[in-house]
Amino acid sequence: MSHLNIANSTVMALLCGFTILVVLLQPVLFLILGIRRGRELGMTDEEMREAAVSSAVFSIFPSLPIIISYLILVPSLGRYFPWLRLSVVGSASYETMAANMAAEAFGLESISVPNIPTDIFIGIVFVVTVCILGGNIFNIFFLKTYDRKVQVLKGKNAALVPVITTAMFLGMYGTMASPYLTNVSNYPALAAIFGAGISALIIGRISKTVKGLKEFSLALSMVIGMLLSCVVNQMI
Amino acid sequence: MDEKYYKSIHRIGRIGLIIGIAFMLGIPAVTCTVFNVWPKSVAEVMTVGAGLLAVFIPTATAEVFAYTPVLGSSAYITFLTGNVSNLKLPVVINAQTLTDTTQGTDEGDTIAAIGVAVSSIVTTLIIVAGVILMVPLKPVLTSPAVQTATTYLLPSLFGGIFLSYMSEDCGEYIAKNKPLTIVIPTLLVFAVNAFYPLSGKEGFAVIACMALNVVCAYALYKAGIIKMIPKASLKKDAAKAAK
Repeated sequence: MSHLNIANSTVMALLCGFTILVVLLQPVLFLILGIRRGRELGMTDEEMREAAVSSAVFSIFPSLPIIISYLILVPSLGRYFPWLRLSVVGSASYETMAANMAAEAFGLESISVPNIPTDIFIGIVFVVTVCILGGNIFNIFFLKTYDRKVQVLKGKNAALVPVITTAMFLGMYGTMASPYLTNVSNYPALAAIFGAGISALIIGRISKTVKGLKEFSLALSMVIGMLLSCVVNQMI
Repeated sequence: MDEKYYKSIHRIGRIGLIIGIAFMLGIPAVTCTVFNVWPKSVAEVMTVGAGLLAVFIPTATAEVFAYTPVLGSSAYITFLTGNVSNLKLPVVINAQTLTDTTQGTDEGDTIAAIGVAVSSIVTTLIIVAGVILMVPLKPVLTSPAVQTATTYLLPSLFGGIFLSYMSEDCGEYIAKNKPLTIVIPTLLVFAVNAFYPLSGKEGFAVIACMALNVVCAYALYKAGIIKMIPKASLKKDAAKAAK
């Protein structure tokens, strides 16, 4: 029996499909509770609709690399397990990297070798499942307390919380963006970063006068950045 | 925050997480039982797992600490549904900016929940479509143009968020001089990187930079250089001026 017999089996399909459904119930529940809570707080339906539409539109483009990661993983891990990992809990970058690291650590050349011994395949499935749970396990035990701390801080000094969280974000996204910003020879990446950034600022300005544009601002600036990187890539 | 709502949303979140994790761990466990295939040794799985954890735990820790003040109780579904920094978090930042709600408030929490929920549902449906249409989609997705565009998706996303975060807009507030926060951390990162390359240690670098940025922002705020002006008061002033 090859590992793909297991990976593409009906059992695997049912297990993965059912898990996706169970996990997906929760965003549905949070959506219902969120809308109800928003109304209680006096938020308008229009405001909430705006947030929902913008989130839906924005989600389309980052889903593309997720599907591409899926295509990369299917020959090694079968049709269903990558579908589960990329739909819930995992991420486009984590899955390919983690699967590969696990395969190498189990002594394979990489995750893309044609025949993975079944015991190693199961081992890989175990390892990638467990290794991403850090954030979730933290949340089970500590999210309530941590969330409360943030609330208390906010109660003491309402203006300070946005300063702190914004600083955290600038630090995080700044660090994530820095490999692209500092590699001055990677012209397409620079074009993407500055193209998207500058268009975000310009679209932000325009959307103050053009109604309806604001919802698409981030999605649009991202597409402009990606298009610019393609143009620059063609030129070099 | 309303105590009853706070307790109930955390209870629902926790129960949901436990069920979700149980199902995920159930997949390899049930597969092993049905096919009677087991990993060679528990020790081997643990050794491999520990190696991976060493790489991913710093990033996971940084993510949880940094994102929770923004996500609030929706952190439960965010981490459970995955694709956090490349999808869910930008969604929430975008939705909160759009609705002028502030992170860490009841309204901000509600908008975060709506954003993450809608995004999870949309992404799951797109992936389902991708899985079903895998054969016809493959040539399109593997075409050079799409490959190039997706290679630069992350820099585009970071650029779009990072530069728009540099503006003085800050939820319910206008934060005067906010961009000054990153001056010292940026210089320090460049200096450190010149002598001690940070490549491969991004997880730790992110945590260090976040901490440093918070210290800088706090100092600038206390020194009165960063000024938080509520937008509501600006609107009032504008209305007064109009009169």
